[in-house]
Amino acid sequence: MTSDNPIIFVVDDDFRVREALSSLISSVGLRVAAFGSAAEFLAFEKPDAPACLVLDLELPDISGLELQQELAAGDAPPIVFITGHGDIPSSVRAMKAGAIEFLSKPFSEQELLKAIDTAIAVDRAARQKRSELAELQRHFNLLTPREREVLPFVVAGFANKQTAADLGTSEITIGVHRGQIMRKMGVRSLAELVRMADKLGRFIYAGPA
Amino acid sequence: MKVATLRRYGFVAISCGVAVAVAWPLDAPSSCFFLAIMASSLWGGKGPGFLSVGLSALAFDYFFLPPRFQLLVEPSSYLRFAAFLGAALLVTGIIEIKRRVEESRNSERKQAESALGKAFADLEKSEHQLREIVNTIPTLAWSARPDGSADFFNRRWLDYTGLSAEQARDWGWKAAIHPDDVNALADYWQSILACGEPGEIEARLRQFDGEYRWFLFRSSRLLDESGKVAKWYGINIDIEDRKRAEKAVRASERDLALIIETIPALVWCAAPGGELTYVNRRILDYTGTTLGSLAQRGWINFLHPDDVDPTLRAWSHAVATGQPHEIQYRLRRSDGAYRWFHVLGQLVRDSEGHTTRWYGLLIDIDDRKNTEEALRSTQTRLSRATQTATVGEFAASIAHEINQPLAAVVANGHACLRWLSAQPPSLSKAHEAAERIVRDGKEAGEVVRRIRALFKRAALEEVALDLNEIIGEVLHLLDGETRKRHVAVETDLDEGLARVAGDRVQLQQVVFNLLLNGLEAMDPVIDRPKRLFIRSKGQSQETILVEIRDYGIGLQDPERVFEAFFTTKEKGMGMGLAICRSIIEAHRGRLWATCGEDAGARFCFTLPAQPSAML
Repeated sequence: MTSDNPIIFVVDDDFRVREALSSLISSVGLRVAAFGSAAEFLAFEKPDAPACLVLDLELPDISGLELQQELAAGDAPPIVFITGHGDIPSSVRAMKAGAIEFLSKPFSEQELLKAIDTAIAVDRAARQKRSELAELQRHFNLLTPREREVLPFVVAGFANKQTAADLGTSEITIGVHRGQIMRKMGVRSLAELVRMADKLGRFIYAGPA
Repeated sequence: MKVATLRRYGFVAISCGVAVAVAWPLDAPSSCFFLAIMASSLWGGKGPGFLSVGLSALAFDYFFLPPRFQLLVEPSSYLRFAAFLGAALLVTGIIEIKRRVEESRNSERKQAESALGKAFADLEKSEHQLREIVNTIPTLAWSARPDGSADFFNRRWLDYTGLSAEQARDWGWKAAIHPDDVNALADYWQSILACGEPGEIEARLRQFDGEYRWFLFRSSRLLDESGKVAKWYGINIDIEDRKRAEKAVRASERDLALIIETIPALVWCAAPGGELTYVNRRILDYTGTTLGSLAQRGWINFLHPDDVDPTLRAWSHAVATGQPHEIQYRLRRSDGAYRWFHVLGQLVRDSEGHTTRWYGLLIDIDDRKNTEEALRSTQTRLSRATQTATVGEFAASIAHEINQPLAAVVANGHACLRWLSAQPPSLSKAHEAAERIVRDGKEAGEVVRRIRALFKRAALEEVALDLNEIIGEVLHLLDGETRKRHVAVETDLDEGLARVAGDRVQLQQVVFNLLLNGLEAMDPVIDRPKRLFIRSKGQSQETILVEIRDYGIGLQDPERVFEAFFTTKEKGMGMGLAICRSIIEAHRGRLWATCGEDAGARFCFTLPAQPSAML
């Protein structure tokens, strides 16, 4: 169920806050899913849509900061922290770990909604980037090991002759590999291939010596 | 006598007969008779002399003058007979005179001789007596020649040393002197001999059994007519016992001095009037100065400036009353550091009750004091930490309790507005939100009510309390704080204060809070003395007033300080005074603040006095 309709997750142990926030968020036309604990949230099957996590700092099982750390490894939605009595160290930790905002209760609706908007925009961009990268990865995965070896030489602008010499094969063989790479990666020009390779940077392990 | 006389007279007769017999054939009668008369006179004396004159005259007349053999004298022979008789009388007279002269001379000589003999006897006797005396006097005596060599030792000397007179003679006595003393003694003896003056020296003399004892060697001289030393006399007096006693006294004095110098305390003495007269070495070492700069009132300069006044007050009091002196003060060490000392002084009186002097001790209690201070500071910190932690946690939980419903109220309010302003408006959603607002608002009210109930419930344990005692306890607890902050604490506590009914810990907390606030309020003050003033008094029969006055930064709004979460301190939670007020109010009292007349703040609380009938 792929949709661009953003979804807002609210995690707070206080049902009054959950109710109030659900009501407020849905009043601006956003989907809301509210949870009383971190465990409930983690167990939830999340839809593939831009999202935002409105997270209470104090939770009954694990704290908001711990949940933030746990989520940092995967493709978690951006977090807006809310707290009953925030202290400076916690807020600093939260912001350093990439939180969008740190709000003390009671907060105004504008603050919260603005933070949610920002979070959704950030998530949307991140999702875009993630899907592009996944596409590239898909193309890259089509390459044979030998073609993956040749790719860095091509991208670096080496002539076929020199690449052949370095890899100990013939110029003609390199020319064939090059054609295959262009086809499999779905590009028409060398410039396009270079841009692609740039984005894929982390997958191309070793360049020519 | 008679025989001798008869013999003399017989001799006269015989000598006359012999003269007749000799003169007859020789016919030279005169010379023979003269010889007989001379012999008789010389040997027989006056009587026999005259007898021989008579007999010779008769014999001469009878035998030789004509008419022979008759006792008649012819006129022609008168001259011859007269001449004979005259010559004979002359001879016997002369001899008699000469004999008398000789006799008288002889008797004189005999008298003189007998007197001489008596004198010699007396002399011998007295010399014997002297010798006896010299030998029996209970001391060792000797005499020496002008050159110093000994010529006599009394028996006691010889008995004591076990030497014979021959062994000791001249310089032999040196053998009995202790080897360590012999040189000094010999030198001294030579110096005495050289100047010719009496003298004395102490040295050890060996007893016959080899034991040495201390003696006083005393010598005196005998001068001759020309004023030169004729003889030295000396005695040796046994001073071993005195010496031992002296040694014991010296040892005990040394021990005492050692004790005074080494006991880990500083010892001092002062005149009855309070002027310092003596300090032991440890005091001098500690202060790094001399007795001169400490004496009289110089020691005051070594006190910590803050301790000068109380110390002088206590010392003057002790000097005036003669009561034992006891105080603690800080004394400057040579390196400038101050250490705490516990000072004790005792006035000593002699047997007649006159005050003689003060003896005193300074005991270094700095480490103990520091420990005390550390303990107290820990206590204070702990009590503050507990308080802060409690208040902090409490505040956090209150904040959470209130903020949760409050956040919900705000969010619901916005949601409600949004549902209402939506196109089309969702009245049911708006209604739900409004209902939640009412519910959560009530919830917040409930939280506040619960908190107030909590404070009220806390004041349960009511006992009769002496507020002065509580103030004293808290002041003691804060002693370290006041000292650290150089705050002078003044109290004016009404001794006849009635008791109050209340909770000791809570009232302590109130006093503690108010005093600590006062102290902290004076931390930034640098231009005036830091004074904290505490007063308690019975305001009326029913009410007790406690006033705490500081000279700190003062209050901007005396009423607002009692609001919860109001604070002027960076770290404060702003709960202290709010809690204080709720405690006092729970005790049916009142707590308020005013600005000080010139500076600082004045906090007062009243509490109802317990009726005296209940006491």
